[in-house]
Amino acid sequence: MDVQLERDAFSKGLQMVQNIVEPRQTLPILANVLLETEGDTLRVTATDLAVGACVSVPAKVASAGAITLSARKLGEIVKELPAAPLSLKVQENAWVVLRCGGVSYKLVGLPPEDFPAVVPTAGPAWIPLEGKALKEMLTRTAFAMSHDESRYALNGVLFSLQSGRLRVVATDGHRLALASRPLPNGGGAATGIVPRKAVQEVVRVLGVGEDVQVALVENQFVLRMPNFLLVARLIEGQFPNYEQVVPKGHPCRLVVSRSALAAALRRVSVLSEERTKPVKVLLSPGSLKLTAQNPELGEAEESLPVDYSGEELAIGFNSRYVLDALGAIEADEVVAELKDALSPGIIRSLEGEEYFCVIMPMRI
Amino acid sequence: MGAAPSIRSIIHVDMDAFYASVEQRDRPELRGRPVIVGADPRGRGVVSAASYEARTFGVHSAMPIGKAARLCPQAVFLPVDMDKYARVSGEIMAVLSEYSPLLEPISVDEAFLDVTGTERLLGPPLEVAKAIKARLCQEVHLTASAGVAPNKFLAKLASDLRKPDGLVEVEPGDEAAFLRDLPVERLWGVGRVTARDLRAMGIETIGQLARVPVGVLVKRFGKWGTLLHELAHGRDDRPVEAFAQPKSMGAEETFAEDTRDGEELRRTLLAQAERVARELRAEGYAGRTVTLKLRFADFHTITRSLTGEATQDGLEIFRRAFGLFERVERVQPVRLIGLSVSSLVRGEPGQLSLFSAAPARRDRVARAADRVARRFGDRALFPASLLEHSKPR
Repeated sequence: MDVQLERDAFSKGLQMVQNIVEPRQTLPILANVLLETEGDTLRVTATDLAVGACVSVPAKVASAGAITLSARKLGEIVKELPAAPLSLKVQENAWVVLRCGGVSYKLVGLPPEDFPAVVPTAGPAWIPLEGKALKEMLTRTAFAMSHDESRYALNGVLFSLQSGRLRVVATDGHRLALASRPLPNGGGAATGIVPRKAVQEVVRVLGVGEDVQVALVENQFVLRMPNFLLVARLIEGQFPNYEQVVPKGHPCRLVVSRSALAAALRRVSVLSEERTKPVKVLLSPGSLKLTAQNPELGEAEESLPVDYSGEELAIGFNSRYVLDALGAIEADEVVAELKDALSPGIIRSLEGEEYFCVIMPMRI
Repeated sequence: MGAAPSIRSIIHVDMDAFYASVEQRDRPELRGRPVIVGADPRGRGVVSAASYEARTFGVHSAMPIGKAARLCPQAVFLPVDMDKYARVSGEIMAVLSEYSPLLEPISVDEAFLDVTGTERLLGPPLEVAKAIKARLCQEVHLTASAGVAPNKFLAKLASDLRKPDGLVEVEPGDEAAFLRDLPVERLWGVGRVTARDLRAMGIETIGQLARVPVGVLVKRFGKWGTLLHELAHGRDDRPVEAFAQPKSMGAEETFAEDTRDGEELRRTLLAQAERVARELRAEGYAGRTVTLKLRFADFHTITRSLTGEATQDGLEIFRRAFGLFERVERVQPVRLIGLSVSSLVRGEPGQLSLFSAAPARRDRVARAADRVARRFGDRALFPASLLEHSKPR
């Protein structure tokens, strides 16, 4: 293999995939990225066996071929290179010579044959999406993914394609975030739990401009953009029946300023116990009172005006969960619907049903 | 708060051959005879306690029961009656608690007491220890050994020195003389390995160890070297903690015969999970980490653990432990299986759950079962899947 590349393009390509490489691997070759020529591009591939991605970088190919190199070292090298044409040449015994401007490296590679392939299993039914919209749906739900390693099925985001809508759902068993949007050409039904790492990578590589296509095929989630492909193994396991826990027709409905509620929560929860950050909410006509107390530190209290005319209600929440939900909503005013101290509450923006967050209360 | 007095008075009380002594107390025909409390002597468990009569044959606790049976075939072998010992332990701790609110039980049959500053009220610490021993003898009809010293480490060493029915005081200033000729194995935390390493350095007694510069020990043993140095000089700052929080709760079982029977292993794990969950609820804890322990026929032992949400629910503990179990490759038959719950947090989890349909109801069922168990014993109510396991022994 003998190729010439632009340093900036190569660096950008590497950055798109190198996060997938785990700091510790079961197989030595998984510490490497695969570099292979394809037409007049160099394809860079990284995988941890569960998630893999490839990116194509424009290249002048003098001779075709392939090699693998340490992802970390290659990243460190390319980051420091001057903005000059860069050449990669594979020599005998998997040695690789990298030249750029006045600097040259002779690097130890590993043969490409052992590198696990990153390919979608079947010809998928692609769902076209705006990159910006997908990124938004994911950032507005991903915070609710579980970190509890004993609940694998919750360590990701559920993609559900049904009756012309795409729904993206995440939950940790305490709260649930759901974003949905109609699909232009409807069609098809599919569902799958996309693992945390793939979700993070997708959010990281998605810019604002490009259109993307996603697919759920067999046990894989696939995302592709021009020059980029990500394939992730879906999480096996049963995602809980989320529709069942979404409250409908709760009697206590209030409307409140998003920023005012968030600021008050942040102020009051300073005194909450650190692990679960409990805050007590006292709702009465026209007013919402937040209190927090800590036997070692003292008490905090703040009232703010709300549009509410129902009965009095006292309910406790983990203030972090409420702040996460408020952070995911853009509108100035939010609606919260509650029932009693033991039933889940729901928060959404005043306009639109396309995003909401369900939060289970705390016993306080 | 005023400054703590620089010299403390700590008493360590340790019951003599506790389980065996309780049995001898309750069954006069056993007095003067070797009594061994522990596993079935035909099986493969261990000795939990040996009476002093049995100890003259070389039997000691933690010894394989089969070996004890060979050393002392004429001994009376009794099963462990934990309910009874726990009851007696309660009586003992009640007596001890009258002498200081700073009482730290470290097992059913031993405890530390901090009696610093009670001299004008109760007399000198040595007299307090005498009084405690006398009262245990009169009221609980058992003998105890006690150690009196300026810290926990020395008090425990002292109580162990003249067992049974011993009483040893280490007065402030006498630490060095007291420790000088004792073998290094007496130091807290020094087992066979460290003792061997020390011996290789020409160190056999605590006195010799005390003369080694701390730098040399740190170089050889790391952080642990500093602690060794402190202990060798009889220094130990650990306070007596009245409400020492447990670090973990667990259960384990050695099978009568090594087993490959997945169903038996599963059931054993479920029974253990229920037992540990009950203990957690009784003490008001929930735990985040579940650890599975397996020992195979060749004694190779592995542990696997998983951290999640805090739980005190037997089924949930079982679910996590069994998940770990299923991922272990079992080439050999299993000799021992056990589980423990750690990363304990106080109180019931306040956060309600979205999906477990009726967590509050499960919790109420568990608590009702706990009450039944308290009144009618552990075997009165248990998961039906353990039925086969519960045949009367």
